[in-house]
Amino acid sequence: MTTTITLGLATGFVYAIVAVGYSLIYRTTGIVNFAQGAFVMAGAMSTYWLYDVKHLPYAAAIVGGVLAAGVVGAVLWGSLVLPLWRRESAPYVVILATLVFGDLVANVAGQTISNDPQTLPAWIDGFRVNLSGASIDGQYALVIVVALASIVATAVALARTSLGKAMRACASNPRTSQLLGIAPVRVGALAMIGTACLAGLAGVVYAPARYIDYGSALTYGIYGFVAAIIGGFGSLWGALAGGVLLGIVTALAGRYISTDYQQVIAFGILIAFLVCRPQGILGERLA
Amino acid sequence: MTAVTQRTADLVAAGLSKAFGGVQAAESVDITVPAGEVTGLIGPNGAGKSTVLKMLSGFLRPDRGSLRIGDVDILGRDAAHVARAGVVTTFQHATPIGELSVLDNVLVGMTRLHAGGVLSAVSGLGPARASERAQRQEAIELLERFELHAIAHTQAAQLSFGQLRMLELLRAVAARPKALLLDEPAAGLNAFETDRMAELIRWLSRERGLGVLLVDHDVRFVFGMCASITVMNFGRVIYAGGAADVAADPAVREAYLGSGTPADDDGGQA
Amino acid sequence: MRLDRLSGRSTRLAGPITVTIVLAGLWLGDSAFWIYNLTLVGAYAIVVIGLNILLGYAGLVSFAQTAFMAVGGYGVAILSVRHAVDPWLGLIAGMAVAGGAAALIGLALFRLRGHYLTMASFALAMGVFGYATAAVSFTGGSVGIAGVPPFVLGSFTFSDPRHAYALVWVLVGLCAWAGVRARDSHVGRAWRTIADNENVAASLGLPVLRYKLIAFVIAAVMGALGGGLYVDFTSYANPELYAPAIIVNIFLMLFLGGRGHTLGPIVGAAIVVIVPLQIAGLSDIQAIIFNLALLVLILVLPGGLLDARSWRGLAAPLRRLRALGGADAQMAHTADAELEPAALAGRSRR
Repeated sequence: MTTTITLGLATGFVYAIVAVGYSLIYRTTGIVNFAQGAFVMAGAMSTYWLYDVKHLPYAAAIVGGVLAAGVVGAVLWGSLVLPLWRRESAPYVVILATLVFGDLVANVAGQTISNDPQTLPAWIDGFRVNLSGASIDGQYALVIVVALASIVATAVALARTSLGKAMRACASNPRTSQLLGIAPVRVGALAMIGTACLAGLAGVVYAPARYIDYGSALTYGIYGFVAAIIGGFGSLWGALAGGVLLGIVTALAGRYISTDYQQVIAFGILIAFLVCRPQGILGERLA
Repeated sequence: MTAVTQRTADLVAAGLSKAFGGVQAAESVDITVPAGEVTGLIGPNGAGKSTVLKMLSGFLRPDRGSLRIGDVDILGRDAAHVARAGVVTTFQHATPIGELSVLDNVLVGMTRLHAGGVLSAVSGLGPARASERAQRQEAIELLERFELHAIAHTQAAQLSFGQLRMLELLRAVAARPKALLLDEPAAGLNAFETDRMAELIRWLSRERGLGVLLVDHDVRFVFGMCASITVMNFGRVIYAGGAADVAADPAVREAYLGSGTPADDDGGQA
Repeated sequence: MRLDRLSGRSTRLAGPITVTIVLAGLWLGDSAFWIYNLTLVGAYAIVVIGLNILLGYAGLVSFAQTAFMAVGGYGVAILSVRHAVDPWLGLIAGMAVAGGAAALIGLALFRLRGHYLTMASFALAMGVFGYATAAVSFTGGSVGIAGVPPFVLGSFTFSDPRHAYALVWVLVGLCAWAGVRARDSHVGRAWRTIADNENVAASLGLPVLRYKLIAFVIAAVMGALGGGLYVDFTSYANPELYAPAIIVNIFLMLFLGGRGHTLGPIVGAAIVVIVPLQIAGLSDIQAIIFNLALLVLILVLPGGLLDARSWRGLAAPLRRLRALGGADAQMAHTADAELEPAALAGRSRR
């Protein structure tokens, strides 16, 4: 039980980071970015490639992976989101484009880096944690620590730094922000690249605990999305709450019911929320 | 407020109030749009006119008050319900559907009265075919009445702004309303187009017996058309009565020209 | 512009006539390749016609067509293989369930505005896919259900490819015709108004929810029809038919042919199904190519291959390049002006 909950908690934090990405991008640009999960996969797969194939030192590979995820975010922003945004395309076209882009990134990774699931070395060799008599892979603890720290840092950055304030201004009123000299384009780009890097980091720290493969782009994208809705789309703390809740529930479901039904259960929860409480646990109503 | 004997299709609102957060956008607003007459609603910017208009048309739910069209209570009902009860609104920005023809746009207004569902429409069996024919006839007659039948098959996207505004009004009329709420119908029109619009509105109230509420900034346009006028400022009604006496009313003057007692001023300029 | 009016009237029949001639010719030509694959094209075309009605006419975004395809496909498979029901009845049952489910789902979700419907439809598609993979006892899991018997109507057997071809394309014609009739009726006008501005629709007393449900149910029923036909023709139902990649494929078909265009779904389905078959060794990167194709389409030719305006939009920058001065600049300017959105901003146009 403890193992399951810890696993669920760690996975849930990864979902939470993805959900934070969804919410932040939505709040600053009004876009739902279905490629968010691809950033997680891109970070982990790039680290794998840099370390296992290019034989870079592990620390450098980790940094490289995070940066690679950021680059993917920049490419998405510059080649797709920005042109469509400028053209004032219908929102669903942008959503569709991000979905397709995420799929493209996953397929490219599958073709060029590896078709099979891969794993990475633990960050701290032999690190294990003892909880109520069970010995758990310490990497999970690292996942939780890194993810939590990232989310807290993001919250602080949004609240304190001028960039963070610019983001919040853009979120509430892009036109006025523009008049005040804040560039929604730059803010949007930073939101995209920043959340991409965070997601990449989450992927990189999680991969040693389990594994990563190109299909996980879609999985993380979906679970992160469900987490964002459950917690409240657009809310940072909602993303955290939703992610943790979803992670634990799906882990328990996988352990005590069946892993096959995990996704179905997640979607059942999503539909239930959309019908009964669309604003999620902590969020305000969308549109 | 003078008491008016209620005729069956009068739109009567009393005590309408709406607050947003801490701001009282409208407070205890009474307004009556009698059938067969054109009534004006004017006031400076921010007076609460659009709030009142949205409450009358069902786009905003009043916090308090009463709202009836004839005998039917429509307080708090949504816009579609209000429209079906007979109260139709037009919008400030021209909203005909660009891809549809002028005739089709007018037909859109009549959709709620169209008989037959999708199966009838697709198969050609059932009441849809006859209803479509009858509605087309009625739409063409409406366009002919206002000399727009020449452009009946033109795409709305190719109309001039003035023509679009006329089309919008005709579309609303096609929905066979009892009361028509017009939001700045003459905004952006030149003198000729404004006259045509005024003629149409007068025809609607006289020949069709509609009650028309004109919400507008153009005070001259309103004065020329309306038998009675309601003036708002800061969310409240500050004057309601005949058009002739509006200009002289001290509260109205203060609202439009600013305050300053006659003793201090040189001649009324704020 | 004159070109638009020309293309509106005289080519309205030219398109369907050309398609009919091509299809008849290939049928008479008796090539096994074309007859088999065009039957698959037809099944997909029906699904995309449904989506075209929902999205192209009524402006409602749904990623859930694969979910309804699954209902049709598994309906045929489960009822005919496990319960010895005539596959025709299985198909009709699937269509009925899909329509009913769409009505209920629509009732629950259409009252929410904005992105919620889009997201919920995506969740539905993924949920159905996940369920199809997981519910081994019901759907056969990832192995699926094989041995689906072909439709039989008197002397007409669906297992004969030429009969299947004819049946599917008759149904495609029916669905396309129904879509056009609906679009040109009061229902289609209501859809257009709702798609353009829901407030205007409400202000005219239109029952917005009812019209949205009509479109959604039509799309669901057509999705189930296409899905059921496909499964019966190939005798095999399995979850991969309804995987997320297929959602991309369907939208690619719709965008290729052009949203709102009558023949768009047919053209799009034909290209997406046939082209990969003509180019050997593509299967590994097929997904990548489809992804790229859809992205390029969205960016460069958003109206699709059949949309004259999108092509002119492509040509405008080229014209501008040529017209670096003089009278040509005038031409370039008017060309761009044509492509501006409708004159609802208040400018008059001749």
